[in-house]
Amino acid sequence: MLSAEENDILTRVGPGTPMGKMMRRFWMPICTSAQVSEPDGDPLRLKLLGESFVLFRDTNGEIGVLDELCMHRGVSLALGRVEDCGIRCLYHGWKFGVDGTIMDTPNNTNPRFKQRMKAPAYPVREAGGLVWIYIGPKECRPEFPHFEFMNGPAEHRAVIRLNTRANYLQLLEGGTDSSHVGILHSNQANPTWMKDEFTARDDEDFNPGALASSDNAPTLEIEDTSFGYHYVAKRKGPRAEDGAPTVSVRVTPVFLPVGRIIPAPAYQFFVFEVPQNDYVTSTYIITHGNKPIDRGEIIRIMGLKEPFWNDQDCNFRADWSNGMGQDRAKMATNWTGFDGIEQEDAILAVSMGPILDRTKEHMVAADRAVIHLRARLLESVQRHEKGESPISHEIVDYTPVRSLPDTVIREGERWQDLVPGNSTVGV
Amino acid sequence: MNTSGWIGALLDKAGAPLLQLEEDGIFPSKLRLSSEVYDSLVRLRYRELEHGNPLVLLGTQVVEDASLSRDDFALEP
Repeated sequence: MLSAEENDILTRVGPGTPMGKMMRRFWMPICTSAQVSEPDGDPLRLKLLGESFVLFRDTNGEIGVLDELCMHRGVSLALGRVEDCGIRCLYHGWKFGVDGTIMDTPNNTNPRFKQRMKAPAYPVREAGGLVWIYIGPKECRPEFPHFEFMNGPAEHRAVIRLNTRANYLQLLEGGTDSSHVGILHSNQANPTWMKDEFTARDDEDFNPGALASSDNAPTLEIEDTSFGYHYVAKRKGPRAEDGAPTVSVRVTPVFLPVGRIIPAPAYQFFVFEVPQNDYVTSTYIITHGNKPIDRGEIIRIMGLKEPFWNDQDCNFRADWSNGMGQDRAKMATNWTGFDGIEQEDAILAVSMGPILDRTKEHMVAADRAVIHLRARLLESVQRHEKGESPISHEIVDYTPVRSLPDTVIREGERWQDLVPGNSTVGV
Repeated sequence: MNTSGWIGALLDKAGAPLLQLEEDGIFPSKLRLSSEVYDSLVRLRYRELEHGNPLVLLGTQVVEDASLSRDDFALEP
């Protein structure tokens, strides 16, 4: 539960809002590299934090991100021609380079105009299969961050994007709420749920819904870190061979403002919930490991398929006109009537409405990971409003940060020792 | 930005000890909050209260305690 004011501060991300200003201090993904793979290919019309941009890859392979509307008369450059190392507006033919240089103004022959003026262009980097931009104040731009998924060959990584009609916080809260995994994702976590039995799903080492235990009331421990926090969900484990009690621990790091790592047995799922605006979120899922990964299998287990999603526009389609696409006839053997982890997560977030009214909810102590997420985000906004750096802002190398899939340890053993980098990064 | 009395921060502070108690099988009977926070909760929950529900936060009944400051709480056994 939050007051309406707190909910607004957390969820509104446009220019001038406290959260929007704080988030603008970070590099953010704006699309995947695959979406803009060809030089002189089609430009992309993109939104980030309530602002509109056009992104294109020029003849030399360089990526440019400009304000969407042409600085001349405000026509969308997303309709423009990408050619000869620039993007040209259809209206009067003004042409811009990737850095905003005005290359041509056919209806204005004054050469000094081109020399004096530039179109608003933004710093861009390409890494880890994503295109990242920085749209905050120039003087506050942090170093470009490095994540583990940016290492290794491309075949060890699978990148997926989906655009969901829900505020980013609904998706981020879901992703930090470990206690829903064994319930909402019963089909993936426990395929024999309908017999009231537990069968560990250990046949797919890329399954982020894999749990080692049927305990749906995990105990939580949260520890703040320099990047935000990490928390462990502890479930009852089987007795050890010597009869000693054990616990199954699952660790999720949350790096502010919008990232987390979900564990799977052999891979890490880096997930960024990037607000396009207050009502639409681009989720970037980067699966990464030490061996090749089949992207098609990740898409399958996520349930990202028609009619909900396609790999071209990446828009997630679910609304009440068709009951969110739920197949209620399947629900005797399928917990949700849906099919796949991200499909389930996205549909539940959409079902909350564009921005959830958190004045009406009833949080309980077991929701503590979500409660803490909100508190840390509000703390980061507060710090920024006071002129301090937001949480996580100073970190450049996130490489040591790890999640931990369900791992059985003896009671009393330190779970932090299994993810030592989480406590030392940025310190 | 005046964050004094923010519900999000109070929930976070109260949630940790409450969860610990619940994990030990102890369920406090009351959560005491300052008059200002209590009043704001009553305003937010007016519809539920009209329907006869108790004022509950983190699953625990909330009572007013005028001796507490806006950012404080106390759990009653």
